[in-house]
Parts: sequence; structure tokens; C-alpha cells
Amino acid sequence: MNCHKIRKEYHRYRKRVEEKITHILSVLSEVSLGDFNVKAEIRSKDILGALAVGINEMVGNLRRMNEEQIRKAKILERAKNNMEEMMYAVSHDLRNPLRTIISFSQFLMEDYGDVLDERAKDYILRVIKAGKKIFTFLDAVSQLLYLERIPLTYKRISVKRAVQQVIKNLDTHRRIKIKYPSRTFFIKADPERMKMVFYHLLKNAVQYNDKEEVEIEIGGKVKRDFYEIWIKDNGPGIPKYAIPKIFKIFRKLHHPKEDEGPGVGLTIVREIIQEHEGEIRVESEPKKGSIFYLRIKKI
Amino acid sequence: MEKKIDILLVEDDENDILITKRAFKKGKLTNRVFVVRDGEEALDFLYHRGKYKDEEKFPRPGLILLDINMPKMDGIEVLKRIKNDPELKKIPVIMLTISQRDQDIIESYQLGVNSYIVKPVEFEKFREAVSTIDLYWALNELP
Repeated sequence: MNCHKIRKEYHRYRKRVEEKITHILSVLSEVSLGDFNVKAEIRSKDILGALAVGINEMVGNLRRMNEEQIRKAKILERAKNNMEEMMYAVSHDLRNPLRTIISFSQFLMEDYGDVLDERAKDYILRVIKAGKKIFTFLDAVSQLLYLERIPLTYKRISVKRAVQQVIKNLDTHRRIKIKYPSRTFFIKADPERMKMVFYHLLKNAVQYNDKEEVEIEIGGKVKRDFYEIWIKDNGPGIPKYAIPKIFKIFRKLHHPKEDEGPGVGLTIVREIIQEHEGEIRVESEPKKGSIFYLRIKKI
Repeated sequence: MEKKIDILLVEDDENDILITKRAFKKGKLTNRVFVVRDGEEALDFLYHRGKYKDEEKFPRPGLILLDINMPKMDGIEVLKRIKNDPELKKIPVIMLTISQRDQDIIESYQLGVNSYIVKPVEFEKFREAVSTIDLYWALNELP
């Protein structure tokens, strides 16, 4: 063979190898983009052929794992949707009969109060109280479902105004002295959700309060990366051992006074603060009161 | 004297009919209240069909209280029919709902509801709902 022929042979060989490697690289690039249906089409019996077989096997395994994961995710998604649907149906359908029980118990008190003796009236009041407890619970369930269903939307909120609106809806006969944050304290967050946050924190502050007059102070600061809001009360405080427990779902602190509400409020609060990529913590001194600190990430 | 309107209550739940009637009584309301138990009956009433043929006895109401949850034809469907009829759509409709979610559903249809009452119907809530639709003059409250 002459020199010229060998060089030509070599170039042809080199070109074939380069083509195969380019093909393998393009397959790998497809796979890295998430397409597991590609295959390296090299049938030669050399080392590149072996490489192709290995890659095809690996891609096949990746494809099967991926399909399995998608299948599992679908099952989970379906189960979650069914669960939400069921929870919604239950909380919605219970509302009507429960409302009927409360309404007619109230009618008994209003229309026949003068012919009933004290014990009968006491029994009826117990029915009403228990009914209202379930109602609070159903409300909490539908709020949790709201968080699942409705995506977060950020708007500029005046904390003072939001708190004022919430205070109006607080169903209480207690005397409340409240110190608001400055009128110019604005945050960017989801307004509906923040109202839920203030509602539950203020409701707890009022409901558990054991003083003659409920004192609440709300303040806030704009920091570089986050907003900080604090809510201070003059209630009985939370014992140290109980602090880690208070955000657990449906957990209520043992409290000498039997209270309404299943204590799901703080779970909702924490859920919402986490959605805002924030943090919540509490400092508390027994007999003197608690301060809840909320941090919400600036966006 | 101005003629006081009649009210049509579309409600299938016996308890809620009782609760609503009691609320009107407590509020000393003397407007006539007709009660129908489902959506189809409501349309029969409004179109003077079947047992509601007699237009003298069953005149067109001036206000409709419409429950959203009913068997057969539900409140949304009845509302659609009313709002698609050039004559009937003039009658103000107050929807009776169980929760905020119900209101969201109605609003998503953009059916032009005039007002809502979250059940139970109490006289104060009814008065408030009516006051938003400028129909207050048509109520007949005893002093």
C-alpha cells in the first residue's frame, strides 16, 4: 500500500469515528433534556458499538423509572384531589344541619325562655355552645382548603387597615385596648391570607386573655429583605414546654377555661407565613403575655 | 298608597322555610310570601303554568329569594332562566347561600345577582340585603 492510500484510509476511519461520537453526544444531550425515547443507533462491533448498547440500556432504565414516577405522582395527585373534594363536601354539607340545630335552639330560648326553667335553659345553651364549636371547626377546614385552592397573590396592604377590618369581625364582648402600627406601615403580601393571619392571632389574644382589659399592641418594621410584624398581648402567656406544640394541627393547649375553637388557627397562620417564605416565632412570659413575631419575605 | 310587593321564596328545606318565615314575622313584615319547593316549581310560578295558572291568585312577585342548593333544578339554573328572560330579569333576586364558596360559584357565572344572604335568614340580614337593591320602600313593616 502506498502512503497516499493509507492516509486516505485513515481519514475515512477517523471520519466514521467522529460521526459515531457526534451521534452519541447528540443522544446524550437529548437525554439530559429529559427525552428518554431516544436511542443510539450504532451497530458496529467495536468499542463505540458497546458504548451505544450501554447508553441505550441506561436510557431505557431512566425511561422506566421516569414513567413509574409520573404514574405515582398521578395517583398521589388524584388521592389529594379526592381528599380535598371530600373534605369540602363534608364541611359544606354539615353546615346546613348544624345551622338548623343552632337556629332552633336559639328560637327555643327566644320564644319560650319565659316558660322554661333555669336548668332547661342551661341545657339549651350547652347545645348552642357545642354547635358553635363545630362551626368554628368547619370554618377552619374551609380556610385550609382555600389555601390549597387559591394561589398566592401579592398586593400592597396597610397593616393598620387590615387589622381594623379584622377587629370588626371579631365576635367578642371583651373590652379591647389596641395599639396599631403607624398608618404608613405597608407590606406586600396576600391580603385575604394576611387577614386570616391577623384574625387568628387576635382571636387567640382575646379569647385566652385572663385580664380585666385585653391589651394588644401591633407594630412592624421594614427590613432589608423582609417585613417584621409583632403582635403583643397581656394574656396568660404560653408555658415554655408548650411552645413547640402550639403550631401542630388541631392541637389546643390545655387551658383552665374551656374554650371554643379547635386551635387550628395557629396552624393556618404558620401555613400562610410559610407560603410567603417567612417565619413565625413566639416569645412568652407566663402571666405577662406573649409576643408573636412574623417575618415575611420582601418580593 | 303604593302597592307592596309580594315575595317568592324558593326553598326546599322545611327547616329553612320555617326559619325564614319566623324571621319575617319577627320583623313584623306583612308582605305576602309565596313558597315553592324547587326550581321547576319556581319557573311554573313565574310563568303561570300548571297549578299557578291563575294570575290573580299568583301574581308576579316583586322580589325572589332563591336558595342555591336544591334538588332537581338548582338555584343557579333557575337564576340563569330568570336572567335570560327579558321580563323576569327585572325582578330582583337575593340568593340564599350556605358559605362564601357558594357566592364565588354564583359570581363565576356572572349572572347579575342583586344580593346575598348567608343562611340562616335573619330579619336584620334580610333588611340589609334589601337595602342594597333600592327596594326598601316596597317592604311593609308594621311599626
